[in-house]
Formats: sequence, C-alpha cells, structure tokens
Amino acid sequence: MAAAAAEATTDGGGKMIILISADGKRFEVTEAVASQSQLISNMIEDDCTENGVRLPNVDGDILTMVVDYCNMHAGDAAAAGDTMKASSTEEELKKFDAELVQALENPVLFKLILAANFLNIKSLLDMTCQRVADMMSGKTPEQMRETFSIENDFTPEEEAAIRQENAWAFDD
Amino acid sequence: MEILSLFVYSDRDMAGDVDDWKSPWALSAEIQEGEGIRRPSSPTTSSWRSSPASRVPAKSVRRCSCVSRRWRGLISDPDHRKKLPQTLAGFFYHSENESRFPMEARHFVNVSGRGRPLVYPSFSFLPRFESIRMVDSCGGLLLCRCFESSDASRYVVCNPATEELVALPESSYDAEGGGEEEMCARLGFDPDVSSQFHVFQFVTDARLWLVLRSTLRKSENGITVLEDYSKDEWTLKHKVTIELLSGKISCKYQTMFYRGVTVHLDCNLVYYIADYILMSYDMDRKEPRVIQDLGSDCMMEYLPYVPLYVKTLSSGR
Repeated sequence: MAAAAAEATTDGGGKMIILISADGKRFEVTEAVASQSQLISNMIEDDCTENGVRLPNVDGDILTMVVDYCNMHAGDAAAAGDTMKASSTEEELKKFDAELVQALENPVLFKLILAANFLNIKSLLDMTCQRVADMMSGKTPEQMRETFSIENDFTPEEEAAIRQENAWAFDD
Repeated sequence: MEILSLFVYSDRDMAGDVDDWKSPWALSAEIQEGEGIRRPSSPTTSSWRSSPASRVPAKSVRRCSCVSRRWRGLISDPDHRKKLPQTLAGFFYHSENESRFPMEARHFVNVSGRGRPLVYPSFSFLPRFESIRMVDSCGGLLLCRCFESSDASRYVVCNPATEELVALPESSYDAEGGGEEEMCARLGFDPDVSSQFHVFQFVTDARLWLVLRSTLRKSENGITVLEDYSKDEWTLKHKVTIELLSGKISCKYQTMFYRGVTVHLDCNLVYYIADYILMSYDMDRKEPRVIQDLGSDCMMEYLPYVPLYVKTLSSGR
C-alpha cells in the first residue's frame, strides 16, 4: 500500500511521500512540500522514503501544523518568477505565519519548535523561535514568571543579591 | 548520516519532563542537543544562533537569570551559555611594578568592578613562557605575545573561556623586537561571520588602527562613534565635558589624562580611564561612575573582553 502511494503522482508530476506521526497518523504530501524539511530532503536524496517516513517524536496535531505550513510555503519558489503573484502570496504568507504562531498556547508552540528543529525546517524554526524570543524580550522577571508560569523560588535575600549582580540589566 | 541522527535523536523520550515545556531555556537546551548531532558544517555560524534564547538581547538574558533557580542554572550552564548572546564582561590589563616579583602581572577587572574576576589571566593552559603580553582582544579571542626568552617571541591566539590556543608561525618582523612593535599587532575575529581569525601586524603606522579598534575617539571633549560603517563617516553621538567625566575623582596621581577604552553598546556606557581610574560614563543619565582604581603601576593598554564559549580555534584559523 505504501509502495502504491509512493508511486502516485500529483497533477504537477511531483512524487508523493507519506509522513507518519508518533501516534500513527499518516500525511500524504508532495516531495516539493516535504523537501522544505532538510531532514526529509536528505532522505529523498538517499532514496529511503519508499515505505513512508516515520517521525517518532512528532505528534499528529503538531505534524498537521507543520504540513499546513509546508503546503502554504511550497509555492514560495514557484511564485518567485511572477512578480505580481509573488507579492500577493508574500502578504498572504505573512498573515498565515502570524496567525499560526500568535494563536498557540506555550506548550504547543514549544512542541512546534522542537518539531521544526528535528525536521530541520529553517524558516519555521526561525519564526517560532523569534516568537518565544519576543515573549521574553523587554520583560521584567515578574512579567516573565507570569508569561511562562514560573514560580519564584528565590529567597528575598537571594533575589536582591542576583539583581545587584545584574544591576545594569535593570536600567531603562 | 542524517538518518543515523534521526535514530539518535529519537532515543529521547519527548514527553518525559512535562515541566520543561514551560521554559524556553530548557527548550534551547533541547535544540542545542539536536544540533549537536547534525552535520557539523560551521561551528560558529547560523547553527548556534537558532534557539529562542540566542535571539533575546543580552540585557533580557541577565533579567532572565533573576526569574527562578532553574532558569538561573540553565543560563549559567557551561554547555548552554554557548548559545546565549554575550556582552562586555570586563577588561584585561597589565601592571608593572619594580618592587614586586614578577615585575609584570596580568589582571582582569569585571565590568561591574565587583566580585570575583570572570577570568584569571594566569592562562595555565598555555605552554610555559618566560612572559606573556596580552596584545589585543576581539570577539572573545585574545592575541598574546609569548616570550620564550627576552629576544625570542611568537604570537599565540587563545580563547580564555574554552582554553583553546593556536600558536602562530614566527613572522619576519618578530625578530626586531621592541615594545613599540607590539602595539602594531591586532586581531580581527567575528564568530558570527566566520570561525577564521586574522592577525594584522602593522609595522610602520599603527595609529589609524588604534582609532578604528576602539570605535571611539575624542574630539572637542565629545565622544564620536562610527555608527554606520556603510556611511563611512563619523557621527557625533554624545558630548560631555572633561569636568563631568572627572567629577567623581580627586586627582590622586596628578597625571590627568583620558583614554577611551570601549563603549558598552547594550547599556550606552562609555568606559574610560582617567588618572589610572577605570570609569564608566552613562550617556543616557549623563553620569560618571568609578569602577576601580587600577593603581599607578597599571599599563595603559586595556583590552575589553566579551566571552565566547564556542570552540572555534580547533577547527581552523
């Protein structure tokens, strides 16, 4: 069955690949879409995607997001030749990307980062890491504790000493 | 290669430590682990810049270490700090005192002027030399001139944080010796661009280079900073009077002179030496502050140091 799927082609002529998540969900994508993952791109090069690509540390719901992202971005290179089309696509992509990361709860966002890192999809990793970095930048320790649900386990004396050590970081 | 790494990585139980999902620091540690088993391309370029923590400004990183014990531990973890943006940590300098043995000594002063020095410049990881002169510092690397005897020396580039070193081949100018010549060797290195470093030896006129190195020069009691290299012109960043710069010190050594050391870009501070005292001047608050009295035996060559915890020297020069 997997062999049959691997033989199948889309209208564009691209070969199809099956991605299998940790919980056994199967995703059928074109080679062009999957190749945005450097990991899978290398596997395609080495001819070892015939029986589907098992991704034992990516859950189905995370892989759904990754596949959506890759489908959305697969047109990037193709549209680049057509200026008019490219500009509208670029805008759509930005909107899509912003909505993708904005809406996520922290644990889901973190899992998405790990998946992007594992699959080696640089643009997705950049975008998701930047989101977390933005959540940390310019915040006071109190605000960071709130954002990431961290309990303050310093004694007041310890905290005062650490703040003193890093005094320059608290000037605004 | 890549497939092998797939299996190595998947050995880890993803759902293991649920608490970790809360912390971007733990996440960065995880990403680092993932990267460690990828194809080693360039150790210093993009790969170690990709975790969330590495995108946070140095100031925010310092604030993060005040959040909780766990965050503090993760930030100071030796494996982990490689990925964090580092900022000015302090200065290397020499002192020379005839009533002491050995006469020459190397020192490090923290940027805050307080606490245990981040680096002890004994450099015990270097081979034994009769004496070692720190000549220049750039991007976390230190250029030293190491004397095997009073008339035989060679340059060594080392990273005090990782204790790596590369001894340079002798240059034809080395033999001439003389103190002046040391001023003419400079180190160029930017880990974000390349793991290669460059050593420049200026044989005749080193003055121009000195100006560029500190990106700071004095004119009409103002501070000018070369802000945009592409514009190729100096722009006046801030003006301050000598009276204000020396406001907090009495002229103990009676040799009133000023020397710009560096600009701490993360917090708009200018470090300078006035009368053997290391001072900082806050350009936002227009306030000078005494960092440390260095004593009249200190030599007037200061090397600002930003640590680099990534190993680069073993991979090439």
